[in-house]
Amino acid sequence: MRKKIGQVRQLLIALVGTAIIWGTQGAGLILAQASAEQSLFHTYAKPIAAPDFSLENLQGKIVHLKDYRGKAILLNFWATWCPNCRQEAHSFNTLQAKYLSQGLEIYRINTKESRETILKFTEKNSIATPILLDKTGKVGRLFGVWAHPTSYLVDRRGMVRYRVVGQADWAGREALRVIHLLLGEK
Amino acid sequence: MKKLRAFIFVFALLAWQGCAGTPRVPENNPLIPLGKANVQAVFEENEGLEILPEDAKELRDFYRGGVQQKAKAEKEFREKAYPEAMKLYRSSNEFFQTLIQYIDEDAAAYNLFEGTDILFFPNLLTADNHLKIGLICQTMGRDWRAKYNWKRALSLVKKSLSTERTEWGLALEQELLSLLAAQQK
Repeated sequence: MRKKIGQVRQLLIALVGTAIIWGTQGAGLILAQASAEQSLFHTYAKPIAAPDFSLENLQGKIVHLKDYRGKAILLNFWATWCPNCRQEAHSFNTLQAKYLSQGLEIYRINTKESRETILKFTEKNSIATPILLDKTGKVGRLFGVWAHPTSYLVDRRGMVRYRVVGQADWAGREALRVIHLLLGEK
Repeated sequence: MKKLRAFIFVFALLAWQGCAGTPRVPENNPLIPLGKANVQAVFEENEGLEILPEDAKELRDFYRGGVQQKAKAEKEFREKAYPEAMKLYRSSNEFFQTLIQYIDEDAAAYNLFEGTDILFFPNLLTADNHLKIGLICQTMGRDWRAKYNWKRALSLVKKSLSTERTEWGLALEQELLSLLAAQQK
């Protein structure tokens, strides 16, 4: 009986030891995930000048980022195949209607999709926000976009101040606080 | 005897866990030409919005930051501004080291999202940084330090080649082997 208890104890010690080793190996990843989830709106430690670009809009007109200096700009990188991008679409309509007159420009930059695909999508979903076509993905690369949707908030001086990777609630408290902050600056 | 049995049990469990995480080397891995995977192409893919160390939050940021620091380091190296280059190579490696803890396999077509692949070579870029750090050390007469860096570089090149066979990696391997051989003479 005592022999059996001893064997069970040894087995338990071995299992606990293995579990501890296993657990610590995964801890780094969990920490990384937790820190990423802290706030959706990442503030840049030092504002960085937004890379300049010129892109065609859905109507075929070329839009230059530098022409919007003096305004707060929200750049949203998206694609129709991305479910989170589709869900965000309507909140941009609301945001634009509310803040366009106050100096907020919103541009949704589509990655590598055809004009026809985008037009079909905007017509079906009543999208009013201006859309730019990043046909080669070059502008996305300049900003370092690695997931969709990703949004950048650029201040009136043309400096990138915030980044949001993933779907955000653009009518939510945090988004509105950031937008008010940018619009309040000169 | 009991202790031995428990030890064997724990060893077997750890070995099994270790094997589960071992990267698989693809069979008939094609050789990626230098024209497709090279340091200049990597720089071009990562130019633009700068990533500062304090702004790197996601793994992709660490890669981008490491590449951008390396691009700056190469410029200083070419201009023989060795102390500045050394600082930047080390900063670049710090970015890559964080990344490699999570993704340690190089890939010529790492998929970011639908329709967009990037050249992803954290091991090879770190190796190239060590190669250059070694060359700087050699210039300063610190041969043992140069050797240490080249050996580290060589192990990283081998790791890179085990997951993605590139002409770039093979060329780096050759360069490192000849540098180490020349030092032994």
